[in-house]
Amino acid sequence: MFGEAPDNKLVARALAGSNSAWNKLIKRYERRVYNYALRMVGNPDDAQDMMQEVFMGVHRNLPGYRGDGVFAAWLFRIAAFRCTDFLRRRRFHSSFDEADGDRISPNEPALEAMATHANEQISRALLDLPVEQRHVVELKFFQHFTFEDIANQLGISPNTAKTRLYAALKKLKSHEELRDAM
Amino acid sequence: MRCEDARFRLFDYVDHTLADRERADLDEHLDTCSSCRSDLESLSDLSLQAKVWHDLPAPRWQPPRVGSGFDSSGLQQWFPSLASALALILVAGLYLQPAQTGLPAPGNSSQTMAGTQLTGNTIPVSTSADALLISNRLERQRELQALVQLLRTEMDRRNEETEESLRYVIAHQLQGQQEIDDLYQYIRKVSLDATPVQEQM
Repeated sequence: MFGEAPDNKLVARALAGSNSAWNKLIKRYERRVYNYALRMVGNPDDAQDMMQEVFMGVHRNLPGYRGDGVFAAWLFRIAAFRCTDFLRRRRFHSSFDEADGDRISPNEPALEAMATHANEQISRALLDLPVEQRHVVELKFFQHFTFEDIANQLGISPNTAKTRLYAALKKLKSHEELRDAM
Repeated sequence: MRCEDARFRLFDYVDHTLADRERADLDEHLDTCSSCRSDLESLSDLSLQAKVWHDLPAPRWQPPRVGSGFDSSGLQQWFPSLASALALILVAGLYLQPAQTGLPAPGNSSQTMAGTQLTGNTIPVSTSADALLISNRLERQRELQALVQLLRTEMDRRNEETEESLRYVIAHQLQGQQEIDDLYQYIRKVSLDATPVQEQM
């Protein structure tokens, strides 16, 4: 009977002090952000940490949201930034564990907690991409943003976004893991 | 149409956002170019694979509450700015100290160099020998302005990283001295190695 309140209305109510509106906003996006994080960082524990960081970032920056764009695009702009920061920090911490690069390599068993075979295969394939390309694949194919949105979110030009996506495509083309997911 | 032109249009082709004319041109190219045709197939495959992903439910967690951060008048917002300001004053003071002791200010001796540089007041000229000193001072003024700009950027970035690190500690309830030591080393290394970077959100 009653449609769901639009994002902008919930944001306005949250800024006015409504915990209920703020919680609705989180409920609306937490699954999407968690799965985004899962694909970007490759394991459930880190994905949960990253999801929390994204919403902390949203919480902190919400007063600056002007409401002149799609809220999801704004949220994923924060998510992309947090994700880059998270992966950079994880690489730094991994240096203490005598490892280089991402702590989770595409072949490590941490990915086996992905619930489905397809999820696991897709994650392995995505983790094989450089972070910049992974971002574009994620935002284009999983979040369905336009290249203009992606460009805004990542601070690059639409053509750079397309170039990155094309490079990712070339790399994924021969990825056996990804073929298995189909 | 060349392959380089076709590549960028493939994405719009799949999204059905190409104009009729462009679509016809691309169709024509695809009829004769097996490489671009293969790219198009991969693109469609990737799009399909994204749909195969099975969304997992988000784990239970305790989100921040409204009122714990929306209020911009809190100490949390003041602290980084205050820290930046104090650090700037300290560094500017250290930077200026040798000039004050080694090169007495020409003209009005009661005017401090810091006052001159930071407020941009006109520096009085009394002798031709002073001109050289003033030239040096102007050069240092430019250097100081660049340094102040760099410090502002750097302090903002460090504040951001420190906040993130603290949040990380709290969120994970880090236990054990080793982990805290690691974090300390991390922050220390960032502080020492930091170079100006693009200001973060």
